[in-house]
Amino acid sequence: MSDLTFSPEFENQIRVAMAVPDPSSRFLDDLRRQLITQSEITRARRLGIFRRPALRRGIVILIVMLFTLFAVGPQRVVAAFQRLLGYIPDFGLVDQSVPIRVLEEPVTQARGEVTVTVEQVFLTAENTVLHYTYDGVSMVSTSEADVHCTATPFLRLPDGMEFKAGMGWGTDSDSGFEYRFEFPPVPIDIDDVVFFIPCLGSGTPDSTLENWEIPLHFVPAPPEMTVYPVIELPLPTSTASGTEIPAQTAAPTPKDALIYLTLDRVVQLEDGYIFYGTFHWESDIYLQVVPLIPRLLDSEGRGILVEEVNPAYVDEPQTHQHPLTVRTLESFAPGPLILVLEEALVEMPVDTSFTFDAGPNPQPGDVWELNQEIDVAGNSLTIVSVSVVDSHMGSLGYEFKVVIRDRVNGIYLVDQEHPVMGGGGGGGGDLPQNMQITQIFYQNELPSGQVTISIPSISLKLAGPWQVEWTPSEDQ
Amino acid sequence: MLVIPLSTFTPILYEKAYYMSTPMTKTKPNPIDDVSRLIANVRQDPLAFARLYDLYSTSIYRYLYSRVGNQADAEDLTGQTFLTALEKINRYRERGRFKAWLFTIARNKALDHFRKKRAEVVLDVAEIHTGQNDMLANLIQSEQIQELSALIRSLTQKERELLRLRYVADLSYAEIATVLGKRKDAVKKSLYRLQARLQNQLEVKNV
Repeated sequence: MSDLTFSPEFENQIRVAMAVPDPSSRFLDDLRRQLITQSEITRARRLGIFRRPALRRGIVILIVMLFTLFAVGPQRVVAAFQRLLGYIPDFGLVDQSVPIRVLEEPVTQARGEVTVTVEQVFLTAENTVLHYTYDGVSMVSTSEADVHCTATPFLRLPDGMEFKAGMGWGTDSDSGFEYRFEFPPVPIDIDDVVFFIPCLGSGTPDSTLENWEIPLHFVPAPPEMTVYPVIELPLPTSTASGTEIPAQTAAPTPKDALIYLTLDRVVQLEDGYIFYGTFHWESDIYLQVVPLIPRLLDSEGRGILVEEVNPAYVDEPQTHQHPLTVRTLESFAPGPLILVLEEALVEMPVDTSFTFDAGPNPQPGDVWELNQEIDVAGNSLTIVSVSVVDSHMGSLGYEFKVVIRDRVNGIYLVDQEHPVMGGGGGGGGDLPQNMQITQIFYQNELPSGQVTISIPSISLKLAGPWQVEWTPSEDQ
Repeated sequence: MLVIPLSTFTPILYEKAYYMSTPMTKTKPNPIDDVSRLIANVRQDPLAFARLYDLYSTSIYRYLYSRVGNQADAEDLTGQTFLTALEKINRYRERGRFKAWLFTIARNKALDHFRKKRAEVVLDVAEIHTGQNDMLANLIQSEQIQELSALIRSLTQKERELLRLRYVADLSYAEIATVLGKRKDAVKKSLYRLQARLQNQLEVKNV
């Protein structure tokens, strides 16, 4: 396509002819605050939705470890366990002590310009992971008559039983679109299933895009299949709970609030490593702890580019753990590697409230300058002002300006005495440094008179670093 | 099975020593920010999504404004776009095409909007608020630009969308290909032909 030369001058003319105004800074800041609030909700939602599968995986690994412990004795448990786990690219960790099956060969079907290819299937005792691509189909609608496909595919077994897709994701690929779905484990005695795709992409519903049935045949994984070794690491002995933390902060630091990072296993790839770590906290005083900003340093102190392999989800909150998996993306100097977490956010429950007098008939534009100092779990905050705001969606609310200090990342304000429509908050933008805004909108009329606002939790920023060091042996 | 000898493992525990005094603050987008790093951060802490928002909010808004032709709807759809992106970001697989992924969401939001409104607004140059940019206003007043605007308005919806993704949203050919579900070469060829046609029509008018 190098012969297609565009005229820069004419391109600029098109840009001018199609020019549109920029968004207002007020709008951008408001939306930013809204997104920060939604981010908090998303983070909390993760804790609930993903804990069960993660716990199941944890239990499976624990059972395998216990079985291995009894079978071979504690001295050799680590060495034996490392023989059980392997890492398959695009699949993850697999227990190699049980049979693994794969798709015999990629299967392609075509209808006109549309092609669908099942690229690979991994079948283990835990689940079935299917990877397929398609090309020649738009993901976006181009007319009002178009229908966007939302139906999920399924596997149909010979006896008619259907396994619906569970977790999955999709994205663009080099030639079209690719998807990966997890299904329940296919029984070991079934080697033939039909992959059924109800519909593809977006477009006018027709036979080209609907009801794809692709027969699949599975075979035992070939011995030469790439399975990277997993290096299991012993847990450090110095992580017993109750270790006292030096009180280097003015605020009280609970004795049992030890937070630490462990490196659990390392996958040795051809061009780097995948590190499986866990962030632990040994106290009930935190509702959650979220590690931030993982970095990897080589022996020369250089920061190595890494990416998270999987989103890190917390297991059951009571396990007080947050898994962390990062993969190296570039080369590094020989010698020790240090996995570093620079910061963590913790959310701590508190029980504090404050009251202001909104008068008998609060109206939009009303502002009350409070400048009220309050203490929240040893942290001094200032409720600067309260004002009446309009959501422009048919509800009124109060906006609170709060000055937060020191280690406080944010506070949560709720009105537990009146039904609320929603709200949110955040800081930054044009606000003064250290100031946070919270808005609470009400379902009914605006509360008047003495209004009590509760602070159920506070978000604190903890500075690390937390780090673990690991040195590859010479033959790695 | 390859047996790997256990490696040296040196746990170093760093208890929390002190708390940072930095509150949650907005930082200006840094041009050297690596989007991949940002996405990795967002997957760990959704609060980091604000940095992605800083990078793309203006271009998403401008694209949507170009689609709907008024500030209120553009703002509404921009909000919807980023809220959806935040919700779905764990389904995005890093391939260096985050911008295309984001614009696909924006485009779908616009299409949903038109389904409800039953009509697409063709943005008229006269609607453009140019008070903030006198130079732009002067350019728009020029006769040739007005003729070009008229020609663009006479294009089909698909053709206008192609121009919009390229010259309003500033997407690369590869990113446009991703959004439209086409091949990069096909996108480049279509744009080339479209430009050549517009240029030719302008010349004919001026003659």
